[in-house]
Amino acid sequence: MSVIEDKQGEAATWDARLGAWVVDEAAACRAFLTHGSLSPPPYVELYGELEERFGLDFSNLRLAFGHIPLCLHGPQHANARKAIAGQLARRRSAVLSTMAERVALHFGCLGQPGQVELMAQAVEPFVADFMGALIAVADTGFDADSLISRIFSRGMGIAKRKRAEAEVAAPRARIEASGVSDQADVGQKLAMMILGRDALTGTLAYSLRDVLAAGQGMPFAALDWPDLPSSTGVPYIERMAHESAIVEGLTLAPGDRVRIMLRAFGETADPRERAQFFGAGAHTCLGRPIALEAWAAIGLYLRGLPTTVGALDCQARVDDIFAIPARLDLEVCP
Amino acid sequence: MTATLDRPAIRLLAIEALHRSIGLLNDPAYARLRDEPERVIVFADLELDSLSTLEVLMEIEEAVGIELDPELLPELETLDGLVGYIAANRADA
Repeated sequence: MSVIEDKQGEAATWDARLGAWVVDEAAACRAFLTHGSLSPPPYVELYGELEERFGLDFSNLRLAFGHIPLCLHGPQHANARKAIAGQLARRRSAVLSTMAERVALHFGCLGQPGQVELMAQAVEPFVADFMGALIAVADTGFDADSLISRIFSRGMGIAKRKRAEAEVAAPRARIEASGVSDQADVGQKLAMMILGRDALTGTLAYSLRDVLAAGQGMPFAALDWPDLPSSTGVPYIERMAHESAIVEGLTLAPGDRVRIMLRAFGETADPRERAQFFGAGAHTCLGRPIALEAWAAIGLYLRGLPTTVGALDCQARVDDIFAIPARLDLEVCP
Repeated sequence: MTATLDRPAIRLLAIEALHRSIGLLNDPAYARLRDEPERVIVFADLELDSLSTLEVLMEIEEAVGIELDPELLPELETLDGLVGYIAANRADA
């Protein structure tokens, strides 16, 4: 364990409950994100250890983690990143050509007066549809409330991990049933669903909340729609020092953990700074370009509506990984 | 799984799980723990690593039928805190 040299107000603050340094200032976040001595936590290795120690089967989770670039480093990370980039490139045209239609289908509920619960009626079905188009598997059976969203959590006991393993089995089977036989291809599509779905849901939902909150009482047509989402569904990224290092004056020993608060980038008006909540360095979000296309398409559609933004209420979901509203209730006025 | 477990039984179950994982009762400081129902055991003093924590909780989960996450140990701080949590959540299950 490293010597605690920094206290509150310095580059990082030690959180004893997390057992990690927490970095919550944009410039420091950028430095930690791009530092070569820090790697993602060893998720794949952890599940291998759990299998070996407890005689359990986590083959579905290992398949998924083994293809999520965010969970890998070195050559494995580079290969996974190249593979996911290839998947996205192959599907980009198909997704963009149907984007407007998809947005209209799911956000059309805002076109007439009434009460709308945006998460259940618009955002979640849109993201499910969008992600299905992205991986070319119409219905993966990902339940919005499933434990799959929490597989990045370090705070899950074995019973929950076993349940998560069982829940990943269904979408894996559906992907395979859609005709995908190559296991690497299956793993990549699983990875895209697992990471992309919740990240996109939270980013779109909270950013939509921000726009609507600022526009209460205004016609949708007059909404100020920023080029970039204002909030991220991924509040933090974890890193672990794989070698001794000094980062922003903080001395780290191998194994020391750092929680980098991506929300720090959202708390700035500078769009170039805010864009970094999609990450920086080798792990910058591959889904960023297509996510921005979705955001722009939603804004274009909403600003063509004849209705007015009424009262808005947002309730957060209890989630230690992603920032996603549980409910986003909107009164749509004439 | 035992259908009904009172607090003393849950406490003994947890002690046995700790013993199987880290050999707790082999430590002279804890050798008579089974016979010391009032003894306060602080988890931080046991210095459980992450895998041992998962192992201990897994055994208890299988016996009591509720999910237990590792962050509970620092939050509840003591063995009796964990016992109380389990008793309360088994009642709600």
